[in-house]
Amino acid sequence: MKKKRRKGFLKDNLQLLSLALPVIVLLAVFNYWPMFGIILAFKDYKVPLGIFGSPWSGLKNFEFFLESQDAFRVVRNTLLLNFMFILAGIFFGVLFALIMFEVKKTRHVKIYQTVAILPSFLSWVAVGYIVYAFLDPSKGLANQLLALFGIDGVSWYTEPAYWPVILLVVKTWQSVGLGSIIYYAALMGVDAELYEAADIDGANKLQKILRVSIPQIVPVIVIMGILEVGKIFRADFGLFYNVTRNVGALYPTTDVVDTYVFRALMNQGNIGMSSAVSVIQSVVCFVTLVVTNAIVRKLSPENSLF
Amino acid sequence: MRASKRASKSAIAKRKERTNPAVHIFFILFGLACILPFMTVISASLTGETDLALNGFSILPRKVDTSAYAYLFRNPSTIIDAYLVTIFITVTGTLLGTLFMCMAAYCLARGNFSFKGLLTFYIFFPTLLSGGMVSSYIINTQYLHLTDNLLALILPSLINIFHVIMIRTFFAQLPTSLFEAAKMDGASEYRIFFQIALQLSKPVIATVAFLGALSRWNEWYNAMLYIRSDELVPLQYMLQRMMQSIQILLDAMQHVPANVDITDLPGENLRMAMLVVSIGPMMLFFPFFQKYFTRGMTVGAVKG
Repeated sequence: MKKKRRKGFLKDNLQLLSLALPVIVLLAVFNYWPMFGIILAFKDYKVPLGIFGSPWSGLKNFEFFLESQDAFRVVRNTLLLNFMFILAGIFFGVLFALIMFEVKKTRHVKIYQTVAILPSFLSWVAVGYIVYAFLDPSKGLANQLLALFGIDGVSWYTEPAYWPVILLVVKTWQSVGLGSIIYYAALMGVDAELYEAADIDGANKLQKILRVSIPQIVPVIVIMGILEVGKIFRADFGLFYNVTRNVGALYPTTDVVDTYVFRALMNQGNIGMSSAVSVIQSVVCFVTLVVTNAIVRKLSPENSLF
Repeated sequence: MRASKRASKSAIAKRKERTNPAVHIFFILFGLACILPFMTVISASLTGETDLALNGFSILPRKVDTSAYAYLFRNPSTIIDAYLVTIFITVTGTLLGTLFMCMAAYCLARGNFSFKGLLTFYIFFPTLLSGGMVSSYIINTQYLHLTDNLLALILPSLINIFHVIMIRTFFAQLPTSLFEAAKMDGASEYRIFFQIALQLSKPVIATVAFLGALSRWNEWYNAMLYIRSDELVPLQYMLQRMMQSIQILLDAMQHVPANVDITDLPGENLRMAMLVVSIGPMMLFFPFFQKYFTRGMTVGAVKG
């Protein structure tokens, strides 16, 4: 009897393992193997010698990056722009959800949500086209609008100063509809009795929002914020590459770690330096994710990633 | 008596529940902000090139001119190729990816699996540490020889770890007694997976499949890294290449009729027509699946 159960146990485990096999193999090839490829950053890579056969080069690749003027610029852009996106994402997401919460008919909520989510279906390539329709210096709608007020047109794609704001607007436009859903869901979960109690106490709309709605969803806001901060060193490559049309004149304010690595690798073929930057990014991301997750786990264990 | 009282009470509640008009105005304005850009693009695609050069983009076309579409469809093989590639990678990637992710998620949800903890760690760890794009690129090109191969658009993005966790969470919430009963009746793990777990998990599977299909439909990044041949280019990458140079599309269509005025050759309007042709069907189609999108947002945010 006991033997039979052990046999069944072994069979079950083998069957389950075989079900997991495709994912095990795919992750091994496309996720774990590249992790070992990190040693590339410490090598003078020669194609015929391969990753493991190429000679060691110590920290030369890192020095090359850290001594360049670009290092400070791309790190600053990545952190500042991402930080701005996080704040705006939370602010507009919550605002949007609060306003959506005021829509009483489910049918209207559905319609508004569908329209607001529409931009999220687009790839960054398509968004790049749409932004171009606005910002093209001679044909774009933005300069046509400025002309109505007698203001000279701006050569948008050569003026880096405007781009942090442009990227913020584009990012918010593209993501607020979807981003607000989590906060809207949290608002839907707030106990209706709290609002009834507020009504009895004679609270007005604004007071209900400030004293009931927002305090009730603060936990969600905090968790979302911390989770986003965990990813702050990784930029949304598609946004920065397509919306700026990869124009060199805009690099001072729009070049981020991901676009920098991409160009160093694909345009300059500088495998050593690009892999060094890539490694720095991976390590910093790892540390921030572990730290932020530890914080989330303390605040609310069910929201932590691990 | 009672019924009428209730009715009047609900009528009062309804009147009280009416939405503030300012809220409607807000959403109508935001809706316009979402829709006007699309109208601008459509309008540009329906405007003659000289008209565009002279007067710029507009929300509605000043004078409808379909020459860009005529040009596009005179030799549509480029677009058809791109559509076929996109449809192929979307269908194959979504089917295989969803199946594989469900299979692994099932193992993570089964209490009788001895390597549950180990496998959970193995699947989860890559979300924390990544080898970075450079080593992936070197391995995919130098070791796996994926350059100019459609597999480069399918295999590396087959597994989305967050989706595995999402499915696992759903499986774990199914009553274990179902699995145990099937086990008593002598069902194998394969059978329990296919006939019980999968059958009961259609909502989460639909969500994951939809999100996966959307991101594959919008695929351009891996194509930019790995695809060289024109006939293997998916839609979004084709758009992206055109962003850099309209010449690519004109070359691909390989005919500039001799009797056409060179100044009126499609340029900007052709680009925009291309955008409309490539995102139009999707924009009409995907909103019907919106509920999966919203569900994905709320489910994906919590760990199981």
